[in-house]
Amino acid sequence: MSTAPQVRSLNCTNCGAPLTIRAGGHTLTVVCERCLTLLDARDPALSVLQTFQARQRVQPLIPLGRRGELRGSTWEAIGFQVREIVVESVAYNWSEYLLYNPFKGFRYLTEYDGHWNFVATLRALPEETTARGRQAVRYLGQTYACFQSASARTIFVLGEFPWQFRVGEAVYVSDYIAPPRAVSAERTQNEVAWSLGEYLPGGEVWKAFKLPGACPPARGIYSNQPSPDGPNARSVWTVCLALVGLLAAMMFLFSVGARQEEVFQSSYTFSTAMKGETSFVTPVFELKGRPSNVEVKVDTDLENDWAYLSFTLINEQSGEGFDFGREIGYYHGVDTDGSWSEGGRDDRVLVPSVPPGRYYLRVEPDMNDEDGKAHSVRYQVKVRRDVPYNPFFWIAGLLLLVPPIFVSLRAAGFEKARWQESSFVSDSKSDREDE
Amino acid sequence: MSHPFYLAYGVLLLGLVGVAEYRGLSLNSVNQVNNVPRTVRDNPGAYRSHYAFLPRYIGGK
Repeated sequence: MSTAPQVRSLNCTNCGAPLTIRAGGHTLTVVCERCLTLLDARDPALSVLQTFQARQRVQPLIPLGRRGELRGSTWEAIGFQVREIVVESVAYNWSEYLLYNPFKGFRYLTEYDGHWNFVATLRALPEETTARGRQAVRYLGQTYACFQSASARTIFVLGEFPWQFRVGEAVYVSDYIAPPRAVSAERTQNEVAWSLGEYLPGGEVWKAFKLPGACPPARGIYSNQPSPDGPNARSVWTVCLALVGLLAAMMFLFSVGARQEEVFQSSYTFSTAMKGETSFVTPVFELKGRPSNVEVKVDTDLENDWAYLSFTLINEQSGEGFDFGREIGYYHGVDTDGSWSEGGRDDRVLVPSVPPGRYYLRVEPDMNDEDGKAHSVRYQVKVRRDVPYNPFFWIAGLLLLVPPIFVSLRAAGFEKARWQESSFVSDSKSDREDE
Repeated sequence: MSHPFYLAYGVLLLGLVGVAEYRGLSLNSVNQVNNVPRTVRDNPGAYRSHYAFLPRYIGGK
């Protein structure tokens, strides 16, 4: 079955130029391309409806009569109009191409600044509602937020149309968006015409209609242009959640699996009154298993004093060691501000990746001996093998959040820029400026 | 598969954390020393820790 429509050839009543009618009996208005006269296609005599003077002739990007394959059907461009809205004394124009398929009917392609929409009229009536305090409509379970409303005038036409109109006629247009779709209402005194548009990349239109050259680049962000990060922002958080879940499971497993084996514990006393060498070594203890961490924990009975403990964890066989030191200080008292305290009586060191073997600690305590008074401390040293250590998990968790946060911020920036173009934002901005 | 790069990045991070945990690594800084004299066992003063010479902070309000 051929999709080619029947073509009727006529002549313009006004200038005699040849006219082509592609949509047969559907066409109510046909425009003479040479003299820009609107003719009544229902009238066998093609009576003149209107002759208009365009400020400038507009060349359609899709030549009338050109066929293209869009959304699985062949469409022929048969009509073209330029419409205009004026916002704060600035005129904005967009183009509309009327597409025809004898079996599917009519569709529209709209173009503004390189942004395209494939539009079909609605058969069901959208339900008016509100979304986030904004006017909205609901259609087939999807909520469309009102983006802009304005009075639109047709300022230029070419080709044929299945309705009668005059250049300069105005309709009140309201656009509701749920990217990549948009529902539009065109209100006149007598009726409201609803349509549903879906955003199309210009390249797709160019490819469909086999247009020469490259499509004009899209400028700015269009009302129902899908955010490049919109779907990503949602799905990247799903992936993030799965990864964080895995990380939490790993953290749990490593915590549960950590041996936390206490391999040494002993208590000591140190005093600055002690004479001779203050350092000492502990008995040998065994660190078993794979290379893993060793926790050395010190608890003291310090009172308004400090102690410094130098440690060396030494492998008895190899002579290899790990040097580390901890200063522990605890001060407290009461002054005009109330009670205060500083520091703590205990501290711990985690020695990383200690190979298995027989080890001992060399401990060298030190305290303040510059004030001539005797200082002493009782302290306990505990050594545990393979204890849970979580900082890597927290760092990895934060690093996992970086890409989703970045994508979400970009998506939010895109939405912000989109809504900057909304007539509602302009209204509130001008209100503020008026104040 | 959605977000293959992010997934790969996440799996790599998890792998690194797993290895770090398994090997018992930590962010703590300790000074690894070789050849501590064997005489330390009998004479602890024969070796001085690097940290023994650090200046002390005397706290308190």
